[in-house]
Parts: sequence; C-alpha cells; structure tokens
Amino acid sequence: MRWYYIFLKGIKEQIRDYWILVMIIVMAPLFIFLYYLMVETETPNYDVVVVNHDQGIQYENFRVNLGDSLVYYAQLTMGEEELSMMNYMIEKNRDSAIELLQRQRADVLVVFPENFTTSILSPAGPDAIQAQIELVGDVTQMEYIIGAVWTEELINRFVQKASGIKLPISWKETPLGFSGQRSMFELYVPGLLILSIIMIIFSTSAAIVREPETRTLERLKISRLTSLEFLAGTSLVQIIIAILSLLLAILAALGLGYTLIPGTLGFILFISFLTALSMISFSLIVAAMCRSIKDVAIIGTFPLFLLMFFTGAAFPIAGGKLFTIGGYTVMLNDFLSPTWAVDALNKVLVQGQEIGDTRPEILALVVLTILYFMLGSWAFRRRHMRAQ
Amino acid sequence: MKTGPIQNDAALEVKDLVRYYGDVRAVDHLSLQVYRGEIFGFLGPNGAGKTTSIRMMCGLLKPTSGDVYIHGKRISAGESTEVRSNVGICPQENILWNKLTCFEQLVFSARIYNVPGKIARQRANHLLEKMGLAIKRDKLAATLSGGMKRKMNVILAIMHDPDIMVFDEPEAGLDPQSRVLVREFIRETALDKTVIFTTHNMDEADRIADRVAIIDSGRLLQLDTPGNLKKSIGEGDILELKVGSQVKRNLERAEEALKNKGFSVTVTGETFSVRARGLIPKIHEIYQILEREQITVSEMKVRENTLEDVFIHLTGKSLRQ
Repeated sequence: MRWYYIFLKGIKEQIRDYWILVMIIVMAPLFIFLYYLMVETETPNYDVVVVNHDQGIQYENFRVNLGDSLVYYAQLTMGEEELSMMNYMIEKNRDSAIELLQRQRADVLVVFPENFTTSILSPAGPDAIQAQIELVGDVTQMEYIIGAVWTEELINRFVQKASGIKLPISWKETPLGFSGQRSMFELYVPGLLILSIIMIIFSTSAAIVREPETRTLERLKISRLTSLEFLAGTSLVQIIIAILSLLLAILAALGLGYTLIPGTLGFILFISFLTALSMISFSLIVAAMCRSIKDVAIIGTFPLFLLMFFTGAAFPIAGGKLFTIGGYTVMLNDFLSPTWAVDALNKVLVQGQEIGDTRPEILALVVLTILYFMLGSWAFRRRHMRAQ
Repeated sequence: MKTGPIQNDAALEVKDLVRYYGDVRAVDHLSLQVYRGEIFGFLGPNGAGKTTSIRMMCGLLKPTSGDVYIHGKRISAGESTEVRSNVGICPQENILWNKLTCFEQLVFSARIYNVPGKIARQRANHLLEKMGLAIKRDKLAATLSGGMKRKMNVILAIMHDPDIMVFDEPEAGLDPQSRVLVREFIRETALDKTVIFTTHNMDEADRIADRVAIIDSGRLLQLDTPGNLKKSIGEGDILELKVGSQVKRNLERAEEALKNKGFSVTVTGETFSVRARGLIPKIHEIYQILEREQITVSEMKVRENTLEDVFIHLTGKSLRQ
C-alpha cells in the first residue's frame, strides 16, 4: 500500500502546483481548437481557374467553341456529389490567372489552346490534330495535385462525350472507411487525441524530478519504499491527468463538430491508457537525464517535439525508412510508441476497420512500453535512487 | 528514564570507513561503535567529514571502502532494507515537501514506514504540539519560517519511531530559545533510543552527548565521554588572559617564565591560557610575572576545560578556524 501514499501525496502536490496541471490539461483541447482554425472544417475545395483560348470553328450558321462548352460542363458537374469539391472559375488571360495562383486564390490553372475544338472534332487516327492543354500550379501543394487530377478526369469525360470516343475502361472510387465522410479537421482528431497523452511527458518528468531536486527523495530512499512503489504511485497520478486531458480533448472535438463513431469510446480510452503508460515510461528516461524541473523544461522539449511531430500525432508523416525485414519495411518512427497508437485510432476511427484489426498496433505499443519502462526504470534508479 | 548506553551492544558500527571525493579524502579510515541507548556526538569543524560519515552510516552515500553495520547487520548503500529503516535522519538542510501541510507530511513520512494510520496521526499531532508547531499544523511547509522548517526537519526524522536517530547539526539556524527546545526534545526522545548527532558547537556536544568523537580532516582524533576528553588535556582550571598586541619578545619571555613556574601555558593569537590546579590563589603570582615582562592584560577570566580546548590541544587550531 505504500504506492498508495505516494499516489495521495502526488495528487495533493499536483493540485497545489496547479499551473503545470492546468497547462497540461488545457493544452490538448487548445490544440484541437487550433487545428480546427488551421484546417478546413468542411469538405475540402479545390479552386480551378480556366483560361479559354479556344478559337472554335464555324459550322454552317453556328460558331462551335468546345472550350466554352467544357467550362459550362465543368460548372454543371460542381453540383454532382463526386466532383462537389471542385470549383471552376473563368479568367480572361493567362497572366491574370497566374496572379490568382500566386495570391493563393486558386489551386490550379488550366489553359485551353486555340485548336481545342478543332482537335476534338477532327477525325481520329494517327494523323489527328492534338491540342495541348496546359496545367499550371505549385506542384508541391496537395491542393494542386488533387485539383489537377480531377480536372484531367473531367476533361477526359468531356472529350469522350464530345468526340464520341468510348474508352474501354471506366473508373470507380470507393472511399476507405469513413474517410469520404470526414472533414480534414476530423481526420486530424485521432492524432490530436494521442497528442494530448504525449503532453504528460512534462508533468510526469517534473513530478519525478521534483523529489531529487528538493532532496526529499533522500527521505524516501532510506524508508521502506521501493523504486517500483514510488514509480507506481507517481504514474497513477499522471494516468489520471492524461485521461482527464483526453476527455477534455474529446469534448472539445465534439463541440467543434467531430462525430464520434458509436462504440469506439472504450477503444479510444484503452489505446489512450496504453499510450499514457508508454509516455510515463518514456518520462522515466527523461527524468533520468534531469536534475531539476528547469532541466525537464529544457531537455524534455526535444523528445516532446520528436513524439509530437514524428509519430503522426500532429500531422500524417511517412516516418523515414530504415530497412526491410521479411517484407516489412521498418520505419524510424516505428520505435516511437505513439506512432502505433495513432495508427490504431486511425484504423478504427478513419478507415472504419474492426477493433480486432488493431492487434498488431496494440502489440507494438505494449512491447515498446515494456522496453521504455525497463530502460527508464534502470536509468532512473542508476541516476537518482542508488547511493552516490 | 534514560537507561544509558549499553556497552558492548553496538547499535551501529563502522569499520575502516573511507570516502574519497575525487582526490580529496573526506573520511579517512573511520572505525567506531555507537552503543545502544547512547547519545553520540560527532564534533569537528566545517568540512571535517562529519556529514559524509553519517550519510554513509545511513546508506545515503557509498563508502569508497569499509563497512557499516546496524544491529550487527551489514548495510549496503542504496538498498532499501528493513535494517536501514531502523534509522531516522535529520539532514543538515531542511528537506520538506513544500506542497504538503506539516501534518500531511508527518503522516506521510510515517506511513511509508508502515506505521498504522491512527498511530501516525496521533504521533504527528503530539510532535507538532511538543515542538510548538501545532498552530501551523495545516499550513504548507513552504509557508513556514526557517526556524519552523528546522523543527519540522527534526520531527520528520523520528515519525516512524526509529531505533537510531541521526541529527546533522540539529541546532543550526535556530534562535537561542528554539535551540534549547530542540536540545530538550532530542534528550527526551533519546530516552530509550540511540542518538547520533553532528555539531561544530562544543557546548551542544558537551551538554547532550554521552560520548563525543572528535573528527578533523576525515580522521577520528579522539573518542570518549566529554568529561574524560576534558580531563585528557590536564586537570584544573584555565585562566584566560587577553593580552592584545604586545612585543613578541616580551610574550615569549612571559610564556617561558610561566612554564618555569610549573604552569601549563597555551598561546592562541592574543590569548594566554594558563592551566593549573587550585588556580584562584595563583592568579596574583601569574599576574606579577606578566607585569614583570611588561605585558598588559586587557581581559581576564577563569573557566573550566572545554571540548574546544581538547580540539585545540589535538589539532593546534580552534574549532571556529
């Protein structure tokens, strides 16, 4: 029961040291709110500006300009569910359209050449006239890539209809899980929930380091308290803080329009609990490197940023390929437990997979937690618990 | 009623204890026994190795070599053992949990030694009352004055009712009234316990200790009862004469003349200390010798031997130097 007295002491100290507590608990909902402001909360839109240089052709008493028809067709398709995220607008010349791209008022510029109509209406064959449609945009931007792909698809459809050519293939897109129904903000939420747990690295390391810093650890060292009891009591306080922070983050997300899939709350709590254990174990490594809370604020920043930005918690990340073993590519961030927690939540909350499908992620999370704990408790005992 | 030390029944024993800090030998082959039920004082100047020695005795510091035994069982530094939890330590610095109230931390420090809750609460209230801290029972330790923190530091050491209590400079930083209170408190709580304390205050050692170990530069110089230690440097009283700045040759001649008359003389700075049995009738004679050698006395006092004199006798320097 001695761990319980450490737990009671820790709770009292944490509540009385309320600035750190408030900072840790409020940080996650704050991140949720910031992401809500930063990313588009509705279905994403891709703005395409069209410059039509098509001269068209004179057919009997009619002037045929398929460039104009394509623009009209594009604007009609904006009402369709599949292409509802596309927004087409007309610009008279290329220079003013480029200016729109530069001012980030548009994502893609598409320029129809003068011979656009001529080429579509000319007979098919090896000598057919080929019109060159120009796509312009910042090729590093995801918005450009997606906008350009869908614009090409739209033009292909139009050309097939206008020319009577029928391709032997057609395309069908099926969104994985709930990805088609989620806004960009909602796609970030699983990672942000894990982010709320990662934040406890600070409060846990500070709670542990406070004892050697004030030398009260000496009193504990000569008592009957074991290292394990000390760590258990301290950890339980931090698990409660983590769960509190997580619940606030969930409430903040729900308040900002996030839809929680029924039956997944227990799963989120389970993954969060494992992640909290993992982060507490990781904090032992941090605490072993620090002598004071000031050290925690300086040294602790590095692993905190690493875990925030290199695990997919703050935003999706590839992770850095290390090597391939038995067909499995080992990434650098595979050694960071929140990577697996984010993957597990994404599988269920975004991709719509069954909870049972997350067994590999849970196993990896547990194995890494055990490794962190073994390393952390060894380093902590060596640095702080043994006689100098 | 205090039973007194039980000789040949060592509560704590150290054998050939050595501790280096880099190249500096802080404790130099220290061997001693502290008997069950005695109040044992470590007397020495700052930096003599007192704190290092008791930290090794409590297992907080690893000796470079040598062994520590508590109730005959060897203890290893850094290991939490039942034997070691028989020791309560009051460190030199006030070590408190600043975000806990006085009452909370007393109960907490007892509970981690498995003291039942009811007893822990009763003992906490009793000790707070006894130390005059009852009014601060529910105040955070961070809000206490320096003296109050010192008293808390003392009672935290004994909350789990240990057999051996170690106090490192327990009276340091206390006002005279609190000093007397803490001294009495240690004496009372030591009735059936073994107490080890360090001090550089000879009065504190003289008043409290059953035996005193005089330590300097990490070495044990002498170990005995305060009475025996004082006797060891000579019988009789001491006449202390402040002579101020004088002609060096005159001082040397006066010292020589006094010694020729059979007095034991020590010169420390501007002070002549003359020792003799039945001193009072001889003061006139001493004074005449000094006058003959043209020595002017600005202050004169007669006193008994002190542990300070023992220390000066052993090291040639004052405890305060």
